[in-house]
Amino acid sequence: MDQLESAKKKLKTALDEHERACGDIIHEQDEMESKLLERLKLLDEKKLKCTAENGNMNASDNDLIEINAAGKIIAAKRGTLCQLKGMKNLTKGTRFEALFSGRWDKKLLRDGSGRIFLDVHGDCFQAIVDYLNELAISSEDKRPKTPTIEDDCKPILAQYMMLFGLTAIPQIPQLKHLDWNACDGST
Amino acid sequence: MEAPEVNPKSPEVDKFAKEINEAINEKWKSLHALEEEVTSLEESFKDEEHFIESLSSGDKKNIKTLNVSGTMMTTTRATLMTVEESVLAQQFDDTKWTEQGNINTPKVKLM
Repeated sequence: MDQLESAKKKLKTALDEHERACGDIIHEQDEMESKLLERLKLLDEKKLKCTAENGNMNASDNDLIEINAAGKIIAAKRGTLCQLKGMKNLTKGTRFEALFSGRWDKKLLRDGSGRIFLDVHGDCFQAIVDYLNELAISSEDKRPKTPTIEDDCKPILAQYMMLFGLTAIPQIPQLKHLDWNACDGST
Repeated sequence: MEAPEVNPKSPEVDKFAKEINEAINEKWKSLHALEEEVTSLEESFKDEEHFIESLSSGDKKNIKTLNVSGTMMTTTRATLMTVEESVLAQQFDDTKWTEQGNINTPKVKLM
């Protein structure tokens, strides 16, 4: 009888211990989960607040955007400029997308005519916009590979592609294996 | 010791029943993936803020349209004055701009 009692006690202790250990881990995981969700929520609030302060809440893909690229006037639809949204996933935008998304419309520097002013090489910037235009109308299997420009400007163009975060856009499979070095003009 | 760790903070669990171990470890894995994603989103937004800040810093009146023998160019004074001691920089020097009252004259003629 004593033996049974002690065995029961042992089992009870073991079960309790098991439950406690398991509960601890689950609790730890739940805490991490809620912390992460809280961070996401904070980030979303921050973005929303930022758009309310600096941006255009009614930005639409059909808006016509006028850009003054160091004297060269370029016009394009917002949707064309913003089509390459993500680097790693769809929620993370490229800098190029950020610039024309509307989130910063009130903050951007503008010239006397209210165009977004960018102090960039006009032809190189135009090449990127042309490329995006082509991308917007091309079919899945016939994507343009890279922006094209005359040899002299290739290093600048390559630099802009880096600057605007356009060098790695994995969610477009056709763009995955691009040789961006082809833009560096080193050949 | 050789067991692959999910994270230094949350080593792989193996003290429970197989199913429970697997479930817990799977949750750790997805939590850490989510953490990475959240961090990357936060960094991305910070980068976006800095990027826009660097592009939009400056005053509208510092955007200058130049007429260089007929070719129109627009740039910021900061760009023109990048090389400090240059003649170009002197030409677009702050004080001279004010003296010449060029703030009100949008176009500068250079021959």
